[in-house]
Amino acid sequence: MQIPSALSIAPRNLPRVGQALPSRYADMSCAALVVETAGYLVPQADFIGRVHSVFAQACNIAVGDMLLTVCVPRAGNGATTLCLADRTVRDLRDLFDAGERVVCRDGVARTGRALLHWTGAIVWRPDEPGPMLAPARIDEHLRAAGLHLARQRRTRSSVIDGRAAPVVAALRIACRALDGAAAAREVDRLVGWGEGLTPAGDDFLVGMLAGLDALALGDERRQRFRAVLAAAVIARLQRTTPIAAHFLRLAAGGHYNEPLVALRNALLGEPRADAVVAALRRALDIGATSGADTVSGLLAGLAAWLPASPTAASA
Amino acid sequence: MATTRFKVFANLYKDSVTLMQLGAKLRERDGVAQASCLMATPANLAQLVDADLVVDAPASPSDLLVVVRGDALSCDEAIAAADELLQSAGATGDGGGAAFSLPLTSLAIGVERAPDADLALISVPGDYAAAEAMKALSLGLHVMLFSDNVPVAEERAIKTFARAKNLLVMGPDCGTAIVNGVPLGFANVVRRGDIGLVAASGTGLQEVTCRIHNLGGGISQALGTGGRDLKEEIGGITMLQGLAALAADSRTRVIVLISKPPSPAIARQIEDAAGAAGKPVVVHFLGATPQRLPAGLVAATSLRHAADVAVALARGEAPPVALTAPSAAALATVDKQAAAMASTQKAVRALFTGGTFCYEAQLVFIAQGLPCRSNAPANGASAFDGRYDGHVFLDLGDDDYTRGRPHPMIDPSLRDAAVRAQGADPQTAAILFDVVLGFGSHENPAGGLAQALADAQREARAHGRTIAMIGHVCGTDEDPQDKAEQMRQLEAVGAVIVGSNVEAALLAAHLAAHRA
Repeated sequence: MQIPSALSIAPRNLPRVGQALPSRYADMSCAALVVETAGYLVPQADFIGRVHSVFAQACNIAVGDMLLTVCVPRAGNGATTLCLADRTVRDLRDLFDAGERVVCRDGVARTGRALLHWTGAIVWRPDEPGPMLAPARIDEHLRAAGLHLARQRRTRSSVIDGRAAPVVAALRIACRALDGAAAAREVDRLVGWGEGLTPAGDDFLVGMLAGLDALALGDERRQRFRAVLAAAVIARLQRTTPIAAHFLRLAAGGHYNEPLVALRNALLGEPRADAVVAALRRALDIGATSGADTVSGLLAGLAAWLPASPTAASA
Repeated sequence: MATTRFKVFANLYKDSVTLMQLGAKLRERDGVAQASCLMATPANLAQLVDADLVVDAPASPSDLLVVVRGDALSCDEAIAAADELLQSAGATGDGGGAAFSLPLTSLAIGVERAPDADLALISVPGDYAAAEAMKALSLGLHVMLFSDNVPVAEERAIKTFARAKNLLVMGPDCGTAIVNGVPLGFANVVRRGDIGLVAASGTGLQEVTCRIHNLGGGISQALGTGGRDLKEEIGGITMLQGLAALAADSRTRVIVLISKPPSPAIARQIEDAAGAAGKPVVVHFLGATPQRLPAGLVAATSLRHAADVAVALARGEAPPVALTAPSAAALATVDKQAAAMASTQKAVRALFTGGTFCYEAQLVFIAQGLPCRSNAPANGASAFDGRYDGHVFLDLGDDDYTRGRPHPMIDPSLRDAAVRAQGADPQTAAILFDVVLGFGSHENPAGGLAQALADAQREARAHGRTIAMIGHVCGTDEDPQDKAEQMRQLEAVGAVIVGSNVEAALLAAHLAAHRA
């Protein structure tokens, strides 16, 4: 007899179990979940972690200083994100409990109710930016994005377009002037400020660092400023939530999630306006105001250092 | 006059949408002028001070803070409402738009939704199980059948149908399997490796796979067959298929077969097939007298021995001899306890959650000429009639005890109660027990058991007696329950924990023989 295919199934084919057990097994469940894509910073070695926090569409696993985020397929990739392949997973809170141990060996992470396989996962890396558009075209994109964002802010307002607006403006000026000390003062006010599990100020800083990164290449003074800004952020991580701190730490290291990178690449290199709008919508559609706050930061960062603005040479 | 009320929810994480919605709900309440649901970061606390919403309680950025301002009564009610909403799973939002997905109502819809799936796990009342299994097989799916109470004629029908389609049916009443490293049902976290198993015994499969892991070996596949597969009526269909699958599996170097003794005709068929597998096969038919086996087959005499032999063969080493006596250290401990026992204490009370452990322990007693009674008697034991008299072996996972309640591996409270009761019985010399870890099992089975053992000992000591407590923990260091901690809890109350079920049974039998 040939070996049944069930015994040689690829990770994608793993069965999901534990959905309808008899009463004597009523409390038992174990879901086999297959990871479709794993971020490029997800550890390749075995590890033991703990479930830090669980939401409907995302589960954070603390491994040392890092949070690995297990998320449903449409949530988007990130440097430390594990995107599930199973589109029928509806609520990760049914599968993970905060505080439970996660043991990962040979690309399989186990918790009390779930098995995560990522040996066959595709390693996600952000797309490289294409050639940069002409300044006038980029400016058009930025203005269009700004209008779109303003419309969204009517229903998704946060401190960034409210009480923090003067701080944001001051930070932008500091970026233009490459004034690290002034920028650090504004970072001090923004970290941990505002609505949400990842406070709005933190989301803004992530977006801003992404914008600055795109325009710092080949410019030593900008790179030095960017390093000062990142150091200011890192020095204040204990002042925000652990989840926000994780994303700020990644941003300080130049690591961003897929929607943000896609939008940045589109704004700078995508000739088609509809493609830019699509990327913008995806980036905005994160959390309650997190998407809008991050996009606000991205636009501010790009505007600060685009050719139309004073460059390092003129600053 | 406006007042401010707040509550800090320590280390509580809710997604942003939930926080925004909660804030909006609180602001809508009559008598509430302001309401905020924020993470308690220094920046947010400072902003609240600026807004005259002073929070004079320690809070960290990991804490969720709910602050309301308005009339006192409304604020109190709003805080209470926030508490209820945040603690209620149903009110926590969906994290920003979880996709709606139609529930699966049939196997066909499931296959449509997941066309790559090739195994169905079926767990419905026994009356319907065969029909569902046939549907799955018709869709080209292998089947793992949790359901029990499936008539034997139906089991034969579905297995015959499956065999004709080159598909496998694990079950009925199959509670344990590991397929491609995926534990299904009650199974442990074991490393992948080159030893494949086919077993008609759930806890037997767990014991052997765990010991293989604990010896440094690994599992390629561990297939369950259901307890009746090797009976004449079924003819060992699944075991023969599983054996053939493992024989053809390039990752499997050594095969282990486990079952209660089959009929001679079925045993011969299995042994012939195993002899033709082309790789070493370890056969353990519990309680069967080792026969002359075809070349390439090695008979094991216990679950532990089966694992030991398999690991040795996988390493190219000679098969080790079976354990025939407990360790000297364990013997010394138990002998010391026995010396302090009252003359009435002669009986071993074996209270198991794993059926095969109960069976294997009885075999040890029977082999030593010790009479025993059980609700699931092995050949040579008497039926338990409800009276605790002499050596009693209870399989508390048997249908008699699980009707209308979870299996004791999931809910050990029934076993814990039985353990407690032994403290008051002047006959009780030893309590013999198992603890089964792994997926599906209780998250802390040793916790309640340790307490029950301590209670039993306390009761016995109040009457001038001491009870020996002997057990083993079936699991691995990677199981979710933390095996070391489980053992520590039991040892902390004086239990002697040994490395395998057979060793625990040998230790209890040693005590019983000396108390007779």
